Amino acid sequence: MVVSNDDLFRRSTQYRFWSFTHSQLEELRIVANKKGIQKTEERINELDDSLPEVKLMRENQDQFQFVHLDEEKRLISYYARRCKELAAFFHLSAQVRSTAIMYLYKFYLYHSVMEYHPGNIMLTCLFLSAKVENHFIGINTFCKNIPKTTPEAILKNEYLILETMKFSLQCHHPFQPLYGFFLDIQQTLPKLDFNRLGKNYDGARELVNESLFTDLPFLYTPPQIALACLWLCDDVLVEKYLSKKFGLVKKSEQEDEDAIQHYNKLMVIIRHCADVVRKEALDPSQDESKTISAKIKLCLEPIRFGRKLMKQNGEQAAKRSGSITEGGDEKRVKLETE
Amino acid sequence: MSTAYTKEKKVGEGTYAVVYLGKQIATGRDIAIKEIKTGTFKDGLDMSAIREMKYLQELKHQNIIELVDVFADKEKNLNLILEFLPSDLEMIINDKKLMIVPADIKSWMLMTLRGLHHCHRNGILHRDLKPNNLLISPEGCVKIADFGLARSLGMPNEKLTSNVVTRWYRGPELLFGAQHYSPAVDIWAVGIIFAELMLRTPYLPGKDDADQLVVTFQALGTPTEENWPGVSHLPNYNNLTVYPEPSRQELRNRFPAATESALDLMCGMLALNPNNRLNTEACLLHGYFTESPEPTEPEHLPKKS
Repeated sequence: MVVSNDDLFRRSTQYRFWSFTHSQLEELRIVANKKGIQKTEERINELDDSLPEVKLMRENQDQFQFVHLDEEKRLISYYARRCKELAAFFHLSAQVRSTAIMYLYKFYLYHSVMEYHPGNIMLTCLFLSAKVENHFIGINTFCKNIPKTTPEAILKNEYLILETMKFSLQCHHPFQPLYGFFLDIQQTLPKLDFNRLGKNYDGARELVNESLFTDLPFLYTPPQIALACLWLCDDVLVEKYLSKKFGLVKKSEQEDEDAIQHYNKLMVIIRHCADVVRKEALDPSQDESKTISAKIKLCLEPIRFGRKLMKQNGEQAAKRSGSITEGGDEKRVKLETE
Repeated sequence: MSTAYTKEKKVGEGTYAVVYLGKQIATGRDIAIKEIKTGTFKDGLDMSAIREMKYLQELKHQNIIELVDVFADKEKNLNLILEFLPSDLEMIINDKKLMIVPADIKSWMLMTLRGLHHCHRNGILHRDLKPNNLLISPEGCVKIADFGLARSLGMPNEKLTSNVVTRWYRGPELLFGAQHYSPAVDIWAVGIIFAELMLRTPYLPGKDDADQLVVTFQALGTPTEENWPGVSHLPNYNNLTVYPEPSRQELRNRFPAATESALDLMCGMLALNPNNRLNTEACLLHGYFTESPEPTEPEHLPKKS
């Protein structure tokens, strides 16, 4: 029995545990989001009813805002971007950086931001990834360079992340196959202008970095994503290379039907991946992240919501006694009428 | 403790783990439990434990130790459930009561190389092959174990540490402190194990790192720019006594029981220049494995008495 590289990939944990269809991926996120809402509701229910802020909160519970599915995804991507910057700060390799980012996205396929704030999880993902990918950074060095964190806060989540990763830590990224294509293209198309290839290889590496902020790593294999990124930089080159690899260069009549089909199938995948890299790489703004983070704060500590209501009421009472003019926003008006 | 396994007795303790014997309750199968000590390291989970878990999760092969399960107990200790392997090749080599014939050596070599081939084709270097990391199953199968030093083959520009592999099994590129090396470091180690099986004693037992260079080059010759272009630029390549490469007759005298193709294979694995060393595929296709005698069936191999 000949074991192909495809067979080997199918045996990897990346394929067995971390490859999904689009709908499976959506389903996991819906379930995680529901779990986050349920956990938050439990936290609300556990609050001591005798406290005035809790009473007020119970009266206004319909106004409590959970984090929406789409917001979860955007906030995770916001922190994935910060993870990339932090990795650059520590001079970590593409492998460490990408693995950390994948850990972060994987973590939130099974948990909600309403359970664990991604700002904390991201740090542990990076710390763990540095160990997994052989670029150990001591916890004290790591923390010294990051404001507002402690070794305990980072190590506390290490085990949780490990477990969520199903103890499968290996990540295959498109960088290595991209380098493989870079070498093989030179072999296959020896007359090619090397500067053109070199420039497009660099461009493709940048796009591979962007592909991490999409769902592609869960949906396609690293070589497929690598080819798509290279194709975005130089479609003529990639199509010429693949035609030659599939033996489609000579326009003869006895062209292999199978080969044509394979080629076309691959091109459909490449075009689709390219489209996703170009249009779906998320990069939410800091303002947006702050808004979502504020919601998470209330989900993690719902008593804060009660306190917020108390404060609002207090302000309104003060306002009422000071002047009769109505100055409240919609929310306040609503509170008063209840 | 998980309800799926019993923990029966403690059989060993290393720097990062305690090993227990136990049983898988559902099947009655004997298993080894490697309980990783957490919380004792200030930097969180130990690197060796991480590597072992990372690579064993990816490698399922009849000649690689099986990671049956990973779970956490109540104290949040990490437990690696491994197949139970009662002996290792070192025990067999050292058990002077055992008679080892060439067909036995061929069988152990074949199984070792098959396991190693699977590591290498998955882009994984073991980096600590030695007889006591080649475990033996009750059925006589060799199982490569201890992936605590393993790593993935990285990008070509990545720097690797040369401080790997137990001294006696360390290839010349590592002795010279090379920061770029290949699966050939594992092949060298297997070549040394091959020699040790034939000799029944360690082949190149250097007393310290400096002595290891001397012992290695006395036996196999000192690498030079002629047989290994670029070697003189490696960090620890200096003030070397140049020993000649051994003649074929000298090798025959040192390994009197070896056939010509056994010597060919050994020399192919112990090529000084790592670029000239055989890879696992070339080793497995070597004439040594197809010439008589046939390798001993695993169940008939000598066992620890």
